[in-house]
Amino acid sequence: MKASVIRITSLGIFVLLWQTLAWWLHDPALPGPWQVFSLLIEEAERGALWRHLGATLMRMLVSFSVAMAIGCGIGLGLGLSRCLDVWFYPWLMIILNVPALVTIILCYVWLGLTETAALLAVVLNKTPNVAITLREGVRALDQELLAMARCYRLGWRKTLHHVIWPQLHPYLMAATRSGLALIWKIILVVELLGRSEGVGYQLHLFFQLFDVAGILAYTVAFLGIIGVIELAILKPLDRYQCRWRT
Amino acid sequence: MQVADMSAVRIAIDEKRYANGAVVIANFQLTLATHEFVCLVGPSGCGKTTLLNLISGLDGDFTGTIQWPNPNNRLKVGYIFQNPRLLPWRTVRENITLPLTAGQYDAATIDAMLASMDLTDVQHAYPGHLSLGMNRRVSILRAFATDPELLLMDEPFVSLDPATARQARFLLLQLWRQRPHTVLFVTHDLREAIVLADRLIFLAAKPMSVIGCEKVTLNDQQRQDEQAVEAFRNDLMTRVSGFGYTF
Repeated sequence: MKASVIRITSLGIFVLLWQTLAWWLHDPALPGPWQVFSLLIEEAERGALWRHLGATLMRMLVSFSVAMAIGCGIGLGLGLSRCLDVWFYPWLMIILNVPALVTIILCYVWLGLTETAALLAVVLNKTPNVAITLREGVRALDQELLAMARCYRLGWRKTLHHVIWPQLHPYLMAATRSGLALIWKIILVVELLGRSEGVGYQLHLFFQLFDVAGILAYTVAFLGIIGVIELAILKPLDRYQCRWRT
Repeated sequence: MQVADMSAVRIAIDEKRYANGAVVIANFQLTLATHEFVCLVGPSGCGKTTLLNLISGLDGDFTGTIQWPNPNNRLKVGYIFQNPRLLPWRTVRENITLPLTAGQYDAATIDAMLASMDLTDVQHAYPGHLSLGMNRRVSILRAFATDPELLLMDEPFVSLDPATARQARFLLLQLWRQRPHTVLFVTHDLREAIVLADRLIFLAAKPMSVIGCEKVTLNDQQRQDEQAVEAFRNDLMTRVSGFGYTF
């Protein structure tokens, strides 16, 4: 059987199990998939879904781009320069290990309940992850190929494009995937604590009403979006970069 | 005679130590005449690769001098490594053309070179899909395509089966005849050295130094004749047996 068929079947079984469990328990604490789906449609028709989803996605886009750019820069710097690494690796470890909730609270306390504070909190949480991953990638670069590049006088632009970049690609993809997953979880907390729109804010509202179906509807909407990003952007990028492997 | 050759490369390594302090090369002297094919013959692990890294400029940590024909400008070096060191994510053709500057690139020349090495059919394949022998040929072409003034070769035919190695050696000689370069070729295979070189340099290990120098007096036809190579080798062995080699 083809892998894609298996994946869809597996997904179908998951939904089926969910439905069975919901039907068997018959409890408002676990609404079935059909109920969640119809609520999702309702929210979409009302326009609330798009407003909150859009706000969260916008925050995700901005903080993800900023965190990736800064994190890549720091990772490359630490990986390439022993001196920078000795000086600043401890800083990175500190920021990396501060709990996400602490960063969020501190940002709100210091900068007020503003959009800037919200975005900064997300960026601060994500950047060290990217930096650590990229640093590992740079340290694992093939020294023999770098020597070859020097010997054949490739120059830094060709070396970066043809020798270094393809080797860093898997690390960048790992940072991207784990980054998307991490960022949207943190954004929800940021929104829950200090924003008045976004999926996090909505979840907070549903929680106060004990509306599990609403919570699951927004979760499903977000999972769908992550799935689309994976299938439409990340997978094709992977296939293009790894065309030499098959 | 060599003193008069103003375009010679004069290598004089006083001392080269590894990071752990062990002396690898001591009092090593070698002069390469223009368009000369010199083979360094010595036991494995005696420091031949280290020497090539010093000459190529990859390793600058040594005492001594390498005197280039133009003192202000090192010769353009082509280095054929022991491992082909091709970029696995670039095709054969891309690997060969990558080091070329815009002015150097000429599609027709590359086509002809690929054909001469029997690589035309695989030029758009990735190195991981080809045999080691093919990869080695690609790495040889990459070096020749840059038209280097000094070509360093580090046992490029090791671990090939005898027939493939033999074919690769003659392809190399053929390329070298078409576009002569000064070549420094490292090997521990005396037969291979005799087939290829104008001059053989015998090396001792720990630390590496020159213990003998022999000219190869065979013509092209004799080099292709295994019996002639064998006879020359036997004759050579009687003269160099004092070096303690077992080839």
